[in-house]
Parts: sequence; C-alpha cells; structure tokens
Amino acid sequence: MKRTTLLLSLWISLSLSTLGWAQCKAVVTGPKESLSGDLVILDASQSQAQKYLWKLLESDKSFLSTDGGLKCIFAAGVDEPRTFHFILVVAGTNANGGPEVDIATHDLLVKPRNYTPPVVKPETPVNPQTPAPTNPSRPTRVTYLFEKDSNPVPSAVLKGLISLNGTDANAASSVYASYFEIDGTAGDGDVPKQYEIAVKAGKDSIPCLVVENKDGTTKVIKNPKTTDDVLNAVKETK
Amino acid sequence: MAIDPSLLDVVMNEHDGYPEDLAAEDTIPALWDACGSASREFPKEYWIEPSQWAEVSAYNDANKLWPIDFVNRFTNQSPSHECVCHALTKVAECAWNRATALVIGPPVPKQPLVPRQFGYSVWFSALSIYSEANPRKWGGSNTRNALQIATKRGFLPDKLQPKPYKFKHSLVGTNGKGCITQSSGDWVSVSKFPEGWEETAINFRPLEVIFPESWEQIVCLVLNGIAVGVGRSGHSIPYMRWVNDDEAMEYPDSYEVFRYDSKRMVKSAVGGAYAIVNMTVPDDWTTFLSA
Repeated sequence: MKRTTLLLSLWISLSLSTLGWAQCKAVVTGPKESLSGDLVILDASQSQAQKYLWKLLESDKSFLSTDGGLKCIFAAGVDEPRTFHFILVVAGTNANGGPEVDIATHDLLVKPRNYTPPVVKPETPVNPQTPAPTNPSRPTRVTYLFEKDSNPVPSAVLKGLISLNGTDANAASSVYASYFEIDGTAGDGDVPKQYEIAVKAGKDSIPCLVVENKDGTTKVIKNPKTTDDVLNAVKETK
Repeated sequence: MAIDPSLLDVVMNEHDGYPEDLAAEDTIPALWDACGSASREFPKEYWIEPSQWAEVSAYNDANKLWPIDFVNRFTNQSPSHECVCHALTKVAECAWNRATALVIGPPVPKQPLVPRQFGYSVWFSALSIYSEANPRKWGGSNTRNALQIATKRGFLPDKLQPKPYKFKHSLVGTNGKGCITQSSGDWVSVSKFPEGWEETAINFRPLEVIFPESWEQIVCLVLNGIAVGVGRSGHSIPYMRWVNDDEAMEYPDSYEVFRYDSKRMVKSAVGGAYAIVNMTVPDDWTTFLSA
C-alpha cells in the first residue's frame, strides 16, 4: 500500500509539471459485478482531465490501460467472491488554470461461475437482554503496590504499566495500570476507593502486582521486576 | 547534547522570590519540622551508583521515565516573586501524574496541549500557596514556609485545567504573567479565597517529602523519576532530567523555557532541596468533585 502511495505521489508530481489548460474531475463508469473470467471494461471518458492513471490496490492481478488511459480492461478468475479495488487518478487544471488532481474509486465484485452462496444456519436465538458471554476472568485493572521506604517503583515495572495504558508507539490495552504507595490516601485520609480491592488483596505481599478481574477476583504476583512480569500478569486465562 | 551556554547556570540579576535571608532558613532540620509527619529521609534503596548513571539515563531516555515526562505544562511567574511556589507546583504535579502511569510530557514551551498530554493531570495554583506564604505579595518566600502550607492543607486547582473538571473551588494560577497553560489574574489574599476552599485543597496535598542530603542523592531521585525542588542564587526551580553526558540538570523554568544547572550549580542547591514522592490520590482518577 505504501509503495502504491509513493508511486501515485510521483506520478502526480510529474503530471502536474506538464499540464495544459483543462478543468479536472475523475469519473469512473463500468460494471460493479462480474463473473469469473469475464472481461470488464472500466471507462474514464466522462472525466475531465489531461492525464489518467489506473491502479489496482492490494492485488497481484494485471489489467490493461488503453486509449491513453481512458479505458481499463480487466479479467480475473476466482474460486470465491472477491472485490477488486480500482483507483483512477487524473491530472488537469482548476478554474484558475492552476494544476489539480482528482481521484475516483471503483469496486468490482467478481463471483465464481455457478456460484452458490453457502447456506447460513440461523443462529440460536439469544435473549437480547443477555449480553454475549465474555471471559469472566478478564483482567480490567492492575496495580503495583509498594512501600516507598523499601524500594522505588522499578523502572522496568513502570515501563510495563505505561505500556498497558498506551504510548505513542502502542495503543492502550483494555487494562488500566497504575501504582499505589501503600501509605497513600485520598484527601479524607482513607484508602482511595479505586485502590481498596488492590490494597486488601496485596497489602501483605508488597511489593506486588494486584490484577483485578472483571468477575471481582484478584491475582497477586509478588515482587515483579521486569516489564514482562507486568505484561504477563494481565494475560487472560482461558 | 550541547547545551546552549545562555541556558546554563542562569542567575537572575536580583532574586525573583528566593532571597538570601529566607533561603538561609531552609536547612534540612527546618524543612523536616515544617513538613512534620510527611518528612522522610532519602531511602537507601533509591541510591544508584554514579557508575550506573549513564545506563539508567539511557533507559529513561528510551522509555520516557524522567520526571519531565510526567509534566505537561510550563508556568510563567514574571514579574512576581512566586518562584518557590511555581517550583513546588511542578514537583507536586509530577508526583500526581506519575502515579497514573501515563506519559504526558515533556511540555513544549508556548504550545497548547495535544490530546495525549491530558492524562489525569491536574494543574495546581501556585498563588494558592504563595498568598499564604507571603501575604505582602512582594519579597518571595522560602521552601520551608511553602512546604509547610502545602503539606498541611494542599493546593487549590488552577482555574485553567487541561480538561473540564468540575472543581468546587479553584484559584487563579499566578499573579504574574501566566501563559497558555497557566491562568493569571489579580492578587487574591487568603481571606478572599472562595468559601469552603479547604475541602477542595485537601484533595491535592503532598503526603511524603524526601530531603536529599547530597547532590548525588538529588541526581538519584531524578534518575528514579522523582522531581526535586531546589533553591539557589535567588531562584527556586524543579530539577526534572539529568543530562548525563553534560553532567547537567534540566528544569522547566517558571519563564516558559527549559534551562540547565551544571553539576557545580546542583551541588550549591543541596541545602533546601526536597522531593515529593507521594500525593493524595483521588477515589477515581477520572472523576472529581462536581460543582
């Protein structure tokens, strides 16, 4: 896809440097469905442009561009229905005479000959008030519990917590991660409500990770030291 | 990294809030007394051998684990004498943000926040401390006084926040210039704070404060991701990243700019240094008191 984008960019740059006078609009006409092996002609003649470029995305199939790019000829053999994504890029000028490009897309569904859609068995009716079952032991939260005077939060552990919450390099997981110093409190002097479960489960095992699951169960991992200790702690149990 | 000499060991022509006479009161015993039950010695587990500083620095660089990586704003005190309280708010904000395990820094001078920088950060009002530390407005304060106030009753949130929290009480951030990430306004004496303000401020209070006794301990705290507030040469600043190759400490100065202190300057700043390792924690990071 990146190579296609790069080639398109280069073509656009070259085309814009050699244009004359015409307004610019990309229009593709042609069938949206065909059968395996049948010839398909896509037509760009309703476009307003001076230069034409056809591209077929994410496919190793070939096509033929003819008539100065006004037509694209294509045929494909398939064993099962498949959609081919065509792009027409045209270059011309805008109303002020400046260079302009336009793009149009065209999806073509090619079906096998004598194609019979598979029979889809009706799903067992589900009570709409009953949500689809999820893993009840899915982790939802992990907390690193520690006593500041015994050890700082290990850098590798903090890195793991940060990773779960998402960084520029990776998306956030479904588990919220943080750390809590065992002597910490909310403004009222009590254990913050968000850490009550973790403190109850892990206070005798610090430093530790306390994993809280969707079903209210917890898991305590003593003395984690590495990033993998954190990431492995929240892997779902099957 | 080649540090711009104009940003290194910057000393004001005259103090901007940390005058000599007040600075002289910032001894470790005085700070310890001021913070009472919040006072802590430097834990030996936080010591990192200088021979490992390069390795730890590289790890912090690669994984964004410096104190500055948990700070998402600058402040601007000009021309007020609020430097001690500006430094204190940044040290406190770092401790608050770091516990959420969300990298929201480093801040970019004069730039608004991008979405990834919001996190669960709360911006504290420097004026909410300075008003009590020095009701005369001019003349500055010392760390002892500011820490005593903060550990006893906490900060009020700045009127300007990274997200539309619904705090019951807030206060303008500074009587100085302020900036895109700090509100500014007229002087507000403590008697003019919004009624009932204490019930909000108590939720933003330092719980544990470490007092390092050497420049190496200061560096170790920063290597551990903990910001260190210091006062030196008439100015108070928050140390937030150790640049090992240059043996210099980076800090977000309260003039919307990053500056640096050399090892020599860091050594001069030991007396009166402090690090907040623990702030109060809300019952839920995502919800706060509603108006």
